[in-house]
Amino acid sequence: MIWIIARKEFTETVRDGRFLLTGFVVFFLFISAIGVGAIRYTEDQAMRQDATAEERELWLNQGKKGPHAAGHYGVYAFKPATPLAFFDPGYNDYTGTLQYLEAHRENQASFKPATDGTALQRFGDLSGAMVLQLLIPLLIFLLCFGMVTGEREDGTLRQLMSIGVARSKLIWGKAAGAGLALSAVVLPCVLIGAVLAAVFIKVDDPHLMIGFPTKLVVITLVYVVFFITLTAIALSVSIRAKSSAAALTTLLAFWIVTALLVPRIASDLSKVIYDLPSSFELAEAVQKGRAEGPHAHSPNHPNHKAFKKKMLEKYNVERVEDLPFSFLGLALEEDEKVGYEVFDRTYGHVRRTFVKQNQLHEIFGLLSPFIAVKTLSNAIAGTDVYHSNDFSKSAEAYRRQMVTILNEDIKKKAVGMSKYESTWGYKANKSLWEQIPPFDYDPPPLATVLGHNKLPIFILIIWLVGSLALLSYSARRVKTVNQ
Amino acid sequence: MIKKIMVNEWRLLSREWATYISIPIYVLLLAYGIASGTTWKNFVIENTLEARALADEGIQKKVAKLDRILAGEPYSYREDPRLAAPYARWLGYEFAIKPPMPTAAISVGQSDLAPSYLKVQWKPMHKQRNVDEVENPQNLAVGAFDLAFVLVYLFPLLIIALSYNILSAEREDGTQVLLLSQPLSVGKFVMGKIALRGVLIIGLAVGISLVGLLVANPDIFEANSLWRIGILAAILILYGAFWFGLAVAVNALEMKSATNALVMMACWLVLVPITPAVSNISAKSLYPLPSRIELVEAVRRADEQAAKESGFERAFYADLLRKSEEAALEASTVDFYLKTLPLELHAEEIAGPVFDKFNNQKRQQRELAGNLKYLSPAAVTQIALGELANHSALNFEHYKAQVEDYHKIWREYFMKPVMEHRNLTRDEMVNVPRFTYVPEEQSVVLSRLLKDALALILFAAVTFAFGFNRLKNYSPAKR
Repeated sequence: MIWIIARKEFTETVRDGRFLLTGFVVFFLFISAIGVGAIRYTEDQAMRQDATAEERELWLNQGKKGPHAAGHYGVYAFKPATPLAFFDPGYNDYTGTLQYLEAHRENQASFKPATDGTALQRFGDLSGAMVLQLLIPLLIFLLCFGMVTGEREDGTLRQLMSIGVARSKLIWGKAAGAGLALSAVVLPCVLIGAVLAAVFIKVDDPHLMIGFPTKLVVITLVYVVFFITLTAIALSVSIRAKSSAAALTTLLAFWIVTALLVPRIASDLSKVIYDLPSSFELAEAVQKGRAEGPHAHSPNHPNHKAFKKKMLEKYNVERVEDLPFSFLGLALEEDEKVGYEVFDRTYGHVRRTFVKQNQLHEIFGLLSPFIAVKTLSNAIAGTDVYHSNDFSKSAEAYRRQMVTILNEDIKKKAVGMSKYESTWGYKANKSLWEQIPPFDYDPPPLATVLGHNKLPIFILIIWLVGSLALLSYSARRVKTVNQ
Repeated sequence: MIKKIMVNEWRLLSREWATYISIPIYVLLLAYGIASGTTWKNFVIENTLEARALADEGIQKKVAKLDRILAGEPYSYREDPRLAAPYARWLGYEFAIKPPMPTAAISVGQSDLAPSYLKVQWKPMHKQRNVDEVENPQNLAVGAFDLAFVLVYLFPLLIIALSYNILSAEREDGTQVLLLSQPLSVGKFVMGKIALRGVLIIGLAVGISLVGLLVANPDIFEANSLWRIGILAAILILYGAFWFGLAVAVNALEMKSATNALVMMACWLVLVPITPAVSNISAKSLYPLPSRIELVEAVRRADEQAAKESGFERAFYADLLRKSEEAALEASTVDFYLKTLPLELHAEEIAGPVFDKFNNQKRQQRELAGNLKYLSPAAVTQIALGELANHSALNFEHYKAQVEDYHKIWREYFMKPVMEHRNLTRDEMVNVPRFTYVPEEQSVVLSRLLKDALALILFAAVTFAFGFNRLKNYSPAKR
């Protein structure tokens, strides 16, 4: 019986011009977004790989110079785009694309693409994920709003009941019909999108492809759960509404509130509750903390003098030239150590605040399934704030490794030299540059990503179970006439 | 007659529970948008003032240090604040600030992405690090809940909610035939219904926006910015008029209420989120911007090329070292800066074409996006509100251009003593050139806003003309 009803619903729906037109528009937008996304991703990724290779060449062939000068020459780390970014670019436009790694400083990832965006940037970019997250839900509502109210208004619901069709079977049949009709739009989107992606996307970095098939399966599952949830909600509204117009109005209001208003309110509240320092406060805290260091380049600074005295006493010598290590190397090493502690505290606080803000945002997923699905989609696509922070942390760990190797070299090779000699006279060559391995960032594996997203997963399950329970409850109470 | 219809409509509306839910929520959202924008404006004011104070303090501290040195305080070579190159490169700095306009609370616009204070030193502006305000990327992407959001996104939704069935409901309820049996044309009847809703919704939007902004931002009165508030009112009236025009046009198609709601929501979807997003991606695809990564690598290559061409090497004076470490350090430092400063300028020349290409593409991309905005009244309104707040992309481009000009002045000021092998004088240290932000000419901003207003007039006129023209052939008997 359910299958017969589903077939009838499906046939009716695909014969409806409104559905066909809307479905075609959605299909066209999805395919265009995927095509543009795939081309942009491939160009972007190729350029990042070329730049990374070039950066390595420049580093290795920078010629003879002081290791500290090389530390200031530094290295650029380029954030790789994860393959699913062609489908869901997430927050990639709002996170820095590269991080300059140099001595003394933990620089933040800079050059957010959105900063160079057009006047229309804030309306967002059309992406495959945007179509699935915002437009397919509307298609589902369009599909379902009149499924029960329409039968009631036309008087056919009463007839159906009179011939002995069970209420629950009728509703589950309609749900299955809606699912079939939706599949008629979504499946071609996914299949043609996949072909486009396979044709355009070339990923040369095998690390980026680790776990890719599993990620595809999980992200598909997330969207399937999302669509089932929305179909159940839409049908429940259609069962309970007094008219088709009322059902449609309710569903549109639900979309406006949950897809449009709640995310912005959540974002605003998260900013109010978990306050971030301004860039000034942050710079001041960093400067204040680093001022506690030995001021390696300022010989008359009290801290420099105190550090020098401490080192001379520690190694029981009279002059820095008699130390078993280069004094400049020791001072730079100490300066970096002070810096690490300061950066971990200050930038760590910023990153922790981001996490708290995002967690609060995720809790709002209880009011909006759109938040839960967007959070999970971004996370699996590797385009969320967590991935951006992970890249920054990895780049900073590399920077620390780089300056440690450089300072160690000064410490050991510039022994017995005065500060001037060790700064201007001592020069290292390619053999030192080669000791620093190339920077290679691998995004976290899927298990780690999912582990960080237990809350939105849980919330999405609540929505699924809740909406199915509501549909099941409503299905048993279908009224044949309005009272 | 229209007045009578309006009074009657008010009676009907005032008895509907939906009115008592939607209107207070709408008022609350408008108030929240104003409060949110004002909080952001105050945050930017605080930061820009702090930046300026920091730059002032930096200049004063260095002059004070010099005075202590001149009074006999011992100092090492590196601590001398008169050294022009270290001053220009890392010891000294100016914060080029763009103070928010009194009307900044209208729209956060680009101001959360583009910094309103930029540190200026010798290095090219694109090499300056950590210039962005600390903000969670997720919050940046979601966008601010400011007045512009309420007006561009939610204001039309309320219009749709209260006017999608102005005629269809009468037809479905069977009251239409009765109403139109009166000596009254359908056009007049619709006009009365729309006028009441227009006065209510647009009136509230304009009234609350204006009063709220003026109360929360009294500096608008002092700063000769009232014209911006006047234009805000005009833009809102025109934007609202377009959506009411659309309601008339859709109702004139004689469809069911549910279909009307669907069509109007589809129009909202197409015009508010989809068309601007498609236009944005089209502009990006037609004029793809070389990535900043390419620019960074071009600069790195140019630095290498310039260094190789000049055979740059840091000089080490072993002979001077035997005399004094300080003398050797001074000789090496002077040599380094004499070589480095012209070298860096040469490297920038080498990388210039890549930057020119980038800027050219960016200009073309922005121009195309600027033209494509006319496909959507929402995009026109959003950008106009950004202009009124002085937070549009063009406003920030104008500011950045001024900062670039000032950066040249900064460089020239310090390059002279470096090339003359001399230190800065006290006078030169006191009179370091400062940055003053000059907003765009009022006439330039006005001409852009006028175009936006004309576009909105056209949008509204087309929908009203279509709607009322269709109503001439309206069939009251149709059910």
